[in-house]
This record gives sequence, C-alpha cells and structure tokens, in this order.
Amino acid sequence: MNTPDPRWERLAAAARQVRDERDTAAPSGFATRVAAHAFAQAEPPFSALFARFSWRALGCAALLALVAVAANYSAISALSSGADDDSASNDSLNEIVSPT
Amino acid sequence: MAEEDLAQEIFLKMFTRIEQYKGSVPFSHWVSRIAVTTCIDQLRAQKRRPEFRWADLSEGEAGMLDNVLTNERAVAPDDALAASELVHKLLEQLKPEDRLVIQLLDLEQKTIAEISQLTGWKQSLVKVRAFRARRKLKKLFEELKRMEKS
Repeated sequence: MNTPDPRWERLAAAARQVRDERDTAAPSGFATRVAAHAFAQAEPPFSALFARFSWRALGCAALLALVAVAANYSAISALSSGADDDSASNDSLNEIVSPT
Repeated sequence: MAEEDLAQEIFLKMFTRIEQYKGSVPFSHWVSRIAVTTCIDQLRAQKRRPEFRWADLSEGEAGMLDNVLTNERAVAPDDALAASELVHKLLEQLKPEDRLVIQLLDLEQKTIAEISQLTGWKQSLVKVRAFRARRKLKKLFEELKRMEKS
C-alpha cells in the first residue's frame, strides 16, 4: 500500500479535529416504522406466492418432459421408423389397387 | 435518499435476512456489512461525481486548498472546519468503495484488519482500494495545482 500524499495527510489531520456532532439517536417512531415495514414484507400476497411457485412448477414440468423424451427416445424413433414402413406399404398397396 | 431512509432500509434488511446470520462473525460486523453494501449501492445509484473545480469551492475551502498546495506547514486548528469540508468534497471524487476505505483509514484511523471486518472485504482488497484512492487523490492535487498556476 502506498503512503498518503503529504497534502492529503495535512488536510485529513485537520479534518479529524472536527467532531461529528450530528444526532445519532433514532427519530421518534423509527422503530415502529421499521417493524411495520418488516412485517408487511414478511407476508407476501397470495398472488406473488402463486406466481413464484408456478414458475418453478413450469421449470420442473419442462425438465421432466425432456427427461421423458430422452428416456424413451429409442421407442419413439422405432415408432417413427415403423410409421415410415407403413406409409411405404401403403404406397405399394396403392400401386396394386390403382395401377396407372 | 435521506439518512433516515437509508437507516430504515438497513434495519429492514437486517430483520428480513436475520435467518441468514450464522454466527461466524460478530453480529455487529454482520450488521455493518449490510450497512456498507446498502450505502455503497445508494452512492452508486446517485452517480454524482462532478468534476472538481476551483470555482465550486467556497472562499474558506479555496483558501484552505491554496494553503495546502503551496505550504508545507500543518493546517491551523482554526481552519479545521474548512479542511473537513474540503476533505469531503475531495472524497466525492472517489469511487464509493475507495471513498469508504480512505475515510475509515485516514479520517477514522481504523486499521486494515478493522476495515476488513467492518466491510467483509479481504485485507488485500482493502489495501488495493486504499492504494487506488490515494493515487487518485495525488493525481487530483496535481491537477488542482496545475489549474491554480494557469
């Protein structure tokens, strides 16, 4: 750490001689006001609580959906390839039924 | 924001976060850290660091600054009030964190360890902030001296 500038040191030394005589006592009713605000903040409205939990629920649901898709990916891909086979067989059936 | 509103905000934070107090530091330090954070946030929000100009100083402050820049003698006790006002104007030129450190260090004469406990900042960080603040003050004095000459 550097040493203070001598000009600053002289100024600070003089400033230290001035006593801070501001009243540090709390103004009347200060404690009551603080307590009232604290209690008001301690009980959040139901809508705020609902909003908070609904966002969390949405996040959980999205996560679960992703996990479910990932866990069943092989089954889903097999199903989709089976559907392609079905459409292919439908095409050949069409060719037999309505040859052009 | 008035000092009373700021004090109210600090007490409110203290009450609403009381469950977060784990007893790892003395309670007074925990409260002091809340106060420090709240006050620094407030100073940041004000963002009021106008350029320091001779013209903005009162007659007493300008005389005091001239005396400090040209003389190497200690300031007379009669001029302590003007010195105090000038010191606060100079401190307004610093970043809120640096200002707090230099105020505690040079005006309230606290040690680095005490400042670290009060603010919750590491001692190395307190030293860095003090270094930065003193460098800035030195630069400011140089600029003021140059402006005085011109």
